Amino acid sequence: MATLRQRATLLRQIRTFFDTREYTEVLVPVLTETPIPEAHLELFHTTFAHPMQGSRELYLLPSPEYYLKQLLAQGSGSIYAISQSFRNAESLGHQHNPEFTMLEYYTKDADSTTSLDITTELLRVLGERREALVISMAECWREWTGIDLAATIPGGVPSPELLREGMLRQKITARQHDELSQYSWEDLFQMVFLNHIEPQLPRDTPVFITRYPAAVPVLAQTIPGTPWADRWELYLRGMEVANCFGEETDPVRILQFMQDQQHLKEQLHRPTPPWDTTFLQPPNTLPQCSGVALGIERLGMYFFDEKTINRVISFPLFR
Amino acid sequence: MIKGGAIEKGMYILFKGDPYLVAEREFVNPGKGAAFTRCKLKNAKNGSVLRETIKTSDNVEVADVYDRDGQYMYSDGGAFHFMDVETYDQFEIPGDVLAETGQYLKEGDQYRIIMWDNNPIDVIIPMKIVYTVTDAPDAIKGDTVTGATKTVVVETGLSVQVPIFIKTGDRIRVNTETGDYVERVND
Repeated sequence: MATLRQRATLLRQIRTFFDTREYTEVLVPVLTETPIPEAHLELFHTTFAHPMQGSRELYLLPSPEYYLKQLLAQGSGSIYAISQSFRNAESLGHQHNPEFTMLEYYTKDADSTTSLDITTELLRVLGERREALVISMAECWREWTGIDLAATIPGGVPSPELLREGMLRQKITARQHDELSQYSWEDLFQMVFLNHIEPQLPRDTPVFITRYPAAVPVLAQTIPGTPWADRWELYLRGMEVANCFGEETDPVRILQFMQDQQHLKEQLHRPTPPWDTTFLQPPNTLPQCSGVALGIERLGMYFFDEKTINRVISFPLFR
Repeated sequence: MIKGGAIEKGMYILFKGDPYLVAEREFVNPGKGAAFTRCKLKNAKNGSVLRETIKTSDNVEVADVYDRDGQYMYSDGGAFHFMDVETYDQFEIPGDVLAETGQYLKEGDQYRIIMWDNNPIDVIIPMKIVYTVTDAPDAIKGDTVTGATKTVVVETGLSVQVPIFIKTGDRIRVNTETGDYVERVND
């Protein structure tokens, strides 16, 4: 019951934080025909049975992102949503529940640096007393693997060969050269990051990892003249809690991303629901903005000093 | 063959030709990009520990293990010696492989032995085992603080933190996963 009250206070503090900064709270549907196009998310699928016109395929929302972008394109100004989100086929570890609460906030006329300042301020208001460590992805690689990450992306083109060589040279994999050759640059990047960097992150202070490689396809803007995306992730006690983009606003590049993800889903034999392109039609396109997606339960675990997500949910799906 | 996403704790998988016990496994889905299983793998032949991150869509070979019952006889410091209770065959398991479980083995007791490629590679021990205390220091007089503990030694040489009322000759139940005292056994 103490956690129940703590959680209610946390949500109230978050709402007050954004309301006083003139963000508008919006509601998004949880049941949708057009979930976000990310290929690697497993969706919960259901069917709407219309008595006359046949059935319609529906999905539980994995993230409110696209609805918020539609509102921004229609001139909403800065907004936030606290919405139930659903991810299927994720194991029930101490950090996962298939249904969770996502806070997303979009700041108009902003980039990821603005969002970093806002998020730091939000953490402070919620009770954080320690100064956050802000470290770039390239610095993380130098520190914990000895690999020059930028050098594996010559001329902005990711080279799996160069990354593989770096891994073997620094002896940070037990696998052989030919075993590693089946993996893309992105797979190798994730393997090294998850195995050698994420577990090493300081746990006694919030950590913002900034400037992710633009070679990891997401809807963040590329920082001009660099191989880096305008993106950061927040880690609290070694746990990934939030993800931020300086949002890609170019309708052509956004559409290209959606198509690429659709192709990937076909390769992975995943369902290919339609996507919503309303916010790609001029003149109502996405304005310059930066969005943050933050897991409320994980934030609660951090501030209430709980080790498992089930401790901050009143009714976890499985106990 | 199974998929990397189906790896479970306690399973034995083949990695680089050797059988490995999956000591820990955690599912990681960065959301942007493919999902992975982060594992702590223990080499069942030499006990060395490896941390690997395996793509959930990768094929992983399950080690073809089976078990037999073996009676623990003795340790010579380097290896643990067992006898098959049906065939009376004697066999040994390197000390490095049983670095953690070895201290819990009681001479004369039977255990499930995990076999791979005709070689014993691991011993499964119960989660709780009863031991006899062989050496317990007297409680210090006046030490009445609630929750005060002392260190005792049991028949296998294992040291356990126990409440101060435990005496030499007492039988105590110990959690073999954590090494913690559970309770005094009165029977």
